[in-house]
Amino acid sequence: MNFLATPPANLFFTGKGGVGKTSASCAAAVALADNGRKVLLVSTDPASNIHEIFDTPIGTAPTPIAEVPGLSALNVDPEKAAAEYREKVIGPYRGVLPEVAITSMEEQLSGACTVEIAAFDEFTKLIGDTERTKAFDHVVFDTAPTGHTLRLLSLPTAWSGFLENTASSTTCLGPLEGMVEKKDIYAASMKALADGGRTVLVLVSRPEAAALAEAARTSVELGEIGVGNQTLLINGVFTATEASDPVAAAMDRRGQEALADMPAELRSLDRTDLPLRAREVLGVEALRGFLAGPDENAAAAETLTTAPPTALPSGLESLVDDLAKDGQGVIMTMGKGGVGKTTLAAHIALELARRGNKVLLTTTDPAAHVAGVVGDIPTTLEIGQIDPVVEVEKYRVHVMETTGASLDDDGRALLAEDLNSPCTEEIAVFHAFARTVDSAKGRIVVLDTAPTGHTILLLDAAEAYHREVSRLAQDVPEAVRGLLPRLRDPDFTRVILCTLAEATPVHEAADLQKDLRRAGIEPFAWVINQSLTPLDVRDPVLKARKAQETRYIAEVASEHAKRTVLIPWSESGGAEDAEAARGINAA
Amino acid sequence: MPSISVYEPPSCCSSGVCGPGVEQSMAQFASTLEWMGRNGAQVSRFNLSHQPAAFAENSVVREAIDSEGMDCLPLVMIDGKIASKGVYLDRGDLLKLAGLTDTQVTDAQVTDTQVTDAPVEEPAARKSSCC
Repeated sequence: MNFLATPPANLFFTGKGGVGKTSASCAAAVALADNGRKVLLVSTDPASNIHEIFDTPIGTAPTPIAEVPGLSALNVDPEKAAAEYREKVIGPYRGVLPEVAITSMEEQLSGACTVEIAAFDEFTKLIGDTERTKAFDHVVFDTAPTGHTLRLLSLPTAWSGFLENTASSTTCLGPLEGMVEKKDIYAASMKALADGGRTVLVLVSRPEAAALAEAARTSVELGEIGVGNQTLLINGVFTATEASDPVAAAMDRRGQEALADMPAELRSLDRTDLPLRAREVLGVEALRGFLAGPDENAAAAETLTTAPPTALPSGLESLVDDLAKDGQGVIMTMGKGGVGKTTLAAHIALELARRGNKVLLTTTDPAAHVAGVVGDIPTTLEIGQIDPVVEVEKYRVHVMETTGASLDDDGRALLAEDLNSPCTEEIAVFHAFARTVDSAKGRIVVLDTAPTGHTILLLDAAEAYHREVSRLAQDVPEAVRGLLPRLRDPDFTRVILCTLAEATPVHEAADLQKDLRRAGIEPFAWVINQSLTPLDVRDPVLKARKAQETRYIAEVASEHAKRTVLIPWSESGGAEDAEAARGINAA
Repeated sequence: MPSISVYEPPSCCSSGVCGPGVEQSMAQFASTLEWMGRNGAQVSRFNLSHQPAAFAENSVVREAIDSEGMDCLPLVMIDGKIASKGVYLDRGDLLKLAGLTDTQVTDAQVTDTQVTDAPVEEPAARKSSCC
């Protein structure tokens, strides 16, 4: 890996969930330590398994890894940091303010931005304060701050608001209280990030369209704010070795096509390809092998024979039977980018339409080749689209013309950046989504997106307080007011969580489910997409990966899902799911 | 000139960026408050998410939330007394409640454009957003 030949002080690994950021960052940290450097590995994933990878408990202070001289690791948990911040704000008012007020405040401080800023706050302690890391030559982070966070912090208003007047509500920056004394350290962090001699950004991707598109978006976004030293790491490049295995041949072909169609932004970057691993990367030896090239363990991995689950979960057929029962309602497929929820929504819609139901399929993926997925479109199926980019732009223009009009230039700059936040996109899409559902009475509406629990709770709270105020009724679109209670009606709304039979996607889906449950919504079923388990694979790497799916299928079926559906891997499945392409960060 | 305190519901976004609809009435309300502030009224806005202390210190506000729930927000107090609950007042109603006469209103009548073009002095007007 070229970037390890002349490594700078800070290495950030970024990419969408499940691409192998953790493995790559751990492997890089081990490689650097093996070269005699002092290395600190920082994990920010709340579900981090680095203790599992190194087989040793990792604390919140640098913990030496006995097996790798020179390497220490620490965990930071942004969720926990955000929770601590929340408690610091709210705690003093428990028992003082009415309970409803406390609950309402808690929800406001539970958004993704609060966590994101809390994470960055943790980063700055390590990159902005050289005193704290002087014992190390390199700090390796298994994630990177987002463009939204960095842009916010580069706005003068973000600071002046805090310094001058507490009444200005720069909520995106909530967790940065006490910013006055932090201002220098933030400035130092920004400077370090923009200094290519001190920081490299490693864009981790899979040879898949959605993951590559996400990497390209991050590359451009962070490049624009000065993070110029970037390198590309393609993890999981698969080369079929067993000629008699059609699945292997198809998988090989699909990966090659995705790489051939790689976004232009990524082409100019230094690139390292790593082969698809036969098994999960656990232990220091596996980490050393991770960067070493071809998977030497493929054959050995075949001996990993885990008994398949006694009964495989059912396929899509029986799920659609149940979804078709009422002939109306809303079906939403939900999941992180790249798990194939657009394709899944298209298949469900098609099956429902073929059974004579009137169906409206609305996708949010502008690149979705729905017609390609569903083939001949039955007359009972209508296809619509919500383009998040268009919706956000409409929304942005509206807000800037109304609210923005009464602000000064600095205020407008801050409002404009707030409008770049992930929640803004979610809200804008939700508006379009509510209109779609509202316009589709008497038929089944299938959508490839669903609001998060946080969005629902926020909208619900806003709706509740407007409910009895007739003169404000027009401010809350009728479609939104009508939809909120119906989202909680299990006979009307059915959420299908979509995942892959791998660790990170399953944990991410479990988090989405937890968030939905907070809002009183229980997912109808889980779909495990792109599974090798129902297939007869002969390629040694694929056989080993198939064996490892068992653990995650069992976890979904026994711990998370009321109902589990398994869909076999297919060459087209999931490939069109370019929502990551658009950069929805559904977190 | 009267003293006006506004207690607003907690919000990720007082602009309504994250809400179900962008609050045009809220923007107008803010403009009116700014204008009154510039003309000598003492205006304070408190958001539950950002200034919980202001709520905790005011027993009238606490009791209103206790008995009526969050629906009583935004709550407007003029010279220490509750003037309205659960609504972003329009310009006319706010001026009336503040005891400003028709003449004063007419004399001071400014168009929305004039108000919005004026320099923003009240922090209340900085209505940032987001979660």
